[in-house]
Amino acid sequence: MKTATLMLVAALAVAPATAAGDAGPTAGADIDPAVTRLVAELRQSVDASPESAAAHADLAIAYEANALWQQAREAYAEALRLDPGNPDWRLHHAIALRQSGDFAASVAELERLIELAPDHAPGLQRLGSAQLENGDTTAARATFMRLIQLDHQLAEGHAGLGDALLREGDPPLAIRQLEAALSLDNTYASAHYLLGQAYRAAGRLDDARRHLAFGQDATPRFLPDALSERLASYAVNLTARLDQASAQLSRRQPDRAIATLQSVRSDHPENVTVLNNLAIAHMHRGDMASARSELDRALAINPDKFSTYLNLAALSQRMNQPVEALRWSDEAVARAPGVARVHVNRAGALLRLGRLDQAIESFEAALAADFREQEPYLALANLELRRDNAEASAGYSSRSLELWPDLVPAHFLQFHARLELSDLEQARSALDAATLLAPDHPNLGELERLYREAVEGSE
Amino acid sequence: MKLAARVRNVAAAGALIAVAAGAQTIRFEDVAASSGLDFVHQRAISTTLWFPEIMSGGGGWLDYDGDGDLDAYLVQGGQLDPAAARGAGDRLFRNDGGSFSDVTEVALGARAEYGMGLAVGDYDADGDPDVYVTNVGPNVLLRNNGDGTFTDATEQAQVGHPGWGTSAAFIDYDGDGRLDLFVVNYIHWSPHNEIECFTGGRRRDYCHPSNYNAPAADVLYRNRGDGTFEDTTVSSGLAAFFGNGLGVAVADFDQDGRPDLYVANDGMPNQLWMNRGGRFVNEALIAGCAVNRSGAAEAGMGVVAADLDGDTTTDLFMTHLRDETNTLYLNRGGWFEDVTAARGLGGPSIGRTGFGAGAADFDHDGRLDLVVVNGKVGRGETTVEGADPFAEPNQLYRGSSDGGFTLVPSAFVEPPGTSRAAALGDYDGDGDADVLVVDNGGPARLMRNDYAGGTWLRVTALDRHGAPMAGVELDATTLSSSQRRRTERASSYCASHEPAVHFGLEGEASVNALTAHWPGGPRQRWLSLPADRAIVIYR
Repeated sequence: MKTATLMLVAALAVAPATAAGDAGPTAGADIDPAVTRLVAELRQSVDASPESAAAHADLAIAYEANALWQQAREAYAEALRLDPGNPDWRLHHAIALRQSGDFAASVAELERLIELAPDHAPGLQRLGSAQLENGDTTAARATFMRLIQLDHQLAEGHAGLGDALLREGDPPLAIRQLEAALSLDNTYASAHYLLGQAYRAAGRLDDARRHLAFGQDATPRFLPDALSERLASYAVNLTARLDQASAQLSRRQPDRAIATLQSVRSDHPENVTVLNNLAIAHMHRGDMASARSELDRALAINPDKFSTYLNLAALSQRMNQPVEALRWSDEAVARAPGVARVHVNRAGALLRLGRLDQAIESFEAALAADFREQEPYLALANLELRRDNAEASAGYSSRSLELWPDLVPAHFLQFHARLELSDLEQARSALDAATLLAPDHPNLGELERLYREAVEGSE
Repeated sequence: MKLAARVRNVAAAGALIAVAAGAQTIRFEDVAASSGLDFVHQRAISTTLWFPEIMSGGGGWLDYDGDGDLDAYLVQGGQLDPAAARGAGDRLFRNDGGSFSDVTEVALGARAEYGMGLAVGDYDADGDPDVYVTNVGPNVLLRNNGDGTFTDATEQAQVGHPGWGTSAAFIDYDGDGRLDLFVVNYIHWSPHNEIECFTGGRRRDYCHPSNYNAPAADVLYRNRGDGTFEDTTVSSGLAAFFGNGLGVAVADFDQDGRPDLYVANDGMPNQLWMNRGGRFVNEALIAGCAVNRSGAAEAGMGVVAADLDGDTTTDLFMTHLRDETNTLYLNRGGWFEDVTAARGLGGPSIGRTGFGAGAADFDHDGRLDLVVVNGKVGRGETTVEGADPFAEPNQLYRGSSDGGFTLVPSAFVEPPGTSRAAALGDYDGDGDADVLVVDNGGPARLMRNDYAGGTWLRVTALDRHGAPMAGVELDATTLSSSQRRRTERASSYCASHEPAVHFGLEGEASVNALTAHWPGGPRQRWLSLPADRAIVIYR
């Protein structure tokens, strides 16, 4: 059973507001201390060289990286006043204009950018997208065609052109462009979704259904530009640094994550989320004592945070203390019964204690709280197979495949359940689907053998 | 069933409100203060920024005393902290010929819930409208006693769902003639799972629902007909999918005579629940209205279901977070196409956070217009001392002859607020639709429509008990046009519209034919109805 970890703070979708006449953040003005420090440092450069466009641009990048959009647009405008020829600053000025609520000015700035730098690929993509949002498909089509002429290997160009063609009512041509986009990058979710719409318009409903399902979690994506890397290094606000620590953990760099989080803690000593994340990083490093210490401190600051109990349960699991894990899980469930993860954690503790029926109940509670949790489906399909309840197992794996058609373990579980039910046709179908998705999977040979035996047994 | 077909003329010809000659643009003026609609929504901002604080603000229209005009029910927020005094409670205002009197004390008594939304319907089939209020915490069903008072029937009816309810709709989903109840839930929230969120470089801000990762299932209650309901969420198929639900619209999207449901979710795919004879199947993904045309789930807040392109099928319009567009999905007969940009609704909405919305022909030109009320959900960068950091201007989009929509500048004469619910209704009986706007942390606004031109017909369809009936499709044909409208109260955000249907007649003197498609199949037709009348039709 996988031990649950929890990184609670994710990037926020809350958009910032505009602030007319705001001169910029100052210490104590509700701004993250790390951002205040960075801005103060960069302002010194501006003050020292007020005619330096680069200094103003640096300050603008710092504002943008920390989502201070109004200040970013003003600083980019100043940099462009001093040096109107920099296309990257102009692109980001357009982004800041949009983010601070002025869409029309943003589009105008993108148009100006392309006038000055007609080969600026990230600018062309942003402009084409904005033209599509504005309903100007003719202009968007021309913009994306120019992007393709510039570099026909850019999936973004083909996807944008496909979108424009689809909006203009030409599904066959749209399909050609969108298929081209996916041949360059099959992970491009938006292109899948657009292709699904084009197939549907062309009457190819089965193809449509498949691509719509693949593409439905799309997020907007834009070509990187010359400032992208610097933006990442200037993102010093709390959310960004927590994301940075999370990425470090994903790359199996717990020492780096701990260093990042300790630096965050010095700015936010009472922040329970930071302490929880620090505890998780310590767990990844194998330092359970430090993890416990951070969690105890989090509990002392706020004894009602369910996330702290969740992490205490995870810690106990790692320390092979299932009774303790269950106790902490119960505390988490009591505080957040609507959060699926707390039930999954509890189920894990119950499984360790051999309490299968209760574990199943907890997994079911997890699904009732949130049907999008993947782990309970697989666990329940597995557990029901162990309880010789192949019908129920097949139900869980079927449901998970409705949500995630490319989930290979679910196809395997579906195969086993169908085999148990002597439904050879469905078993074959599940095995074929898994083979298509993961042709090199090491389990396939064994499953083929099981299937052959079942076929022979039925004859 | 034998149908009694009668038409009752309840208003004399001509507009009742005098308007300056030549005023040919749509313009709304806030007359709440001058008409006695004295309601201030309370937003107690906690130091920890509890999420519900920024989402509350609901209300709508009902004729609770049966005198033929629209009364206003306004849902109150207040204090979430159980240790603090809760707040002033919901308010009911009686309409006395265009001015309002607060009748809360007599009609409702003291209520202390932390409120969100409102649904109105005659669930007990006694001819008067009952009220369902969604809350952060147990919802409340208030039975109209028919004598100007309400009784809390929540416990008896077993509909006091304890979650964070948002929008709700009375709907006869199983066609048994009794109003069932569908309740949209947002997320599982309590102070225990409140978390700290930040907008970029700022210290603290309200969270996005995805930060909680705790979407709550919506609930369907079937009316047993004896004053009680049973929870049929699972048996009806509605438990299979859910999200961070905020808006709901009821319509017959596939024109099979059964009411379907559309649920707008915040940051998760939406659901299109097609009614297959009492069981629901979510067809949003293949139908193309689960996510936007790029495949991205948007922050669904309010929703409108109406025939926005005049082809007699029901289309969808949704409001979203800033940096997303509001979205228009046109019904192409079995599937929907996102045509937001092509119809002019993209650019103007990107900089706003839309909540309540409604479609009506505000200028009587035979085409539906769209009203969108806005207000941010994050403090963002605003640092102006004393200013409402969430305030944004509201918007009106005028339907044009090419099927597009054009933003009408300065249609709302008002300072910006943090608007949430928008409920449409002709409160002053002058033949055009007015807008009740409920602001979060501010006074309610009564936006009177002062448009002067055109002719109109307003139709109220009553059931056999004498209550306004939902789900009646009405076709009005004049010399120059044909329009289809549907009687539905539920849509927008946490709001309940007037149950009547309003037709703009482009100056035509009469409607040649009015056809009513009653739920369950029967059809009635009336010929040569003079314009500038409010009529009542009976099933």
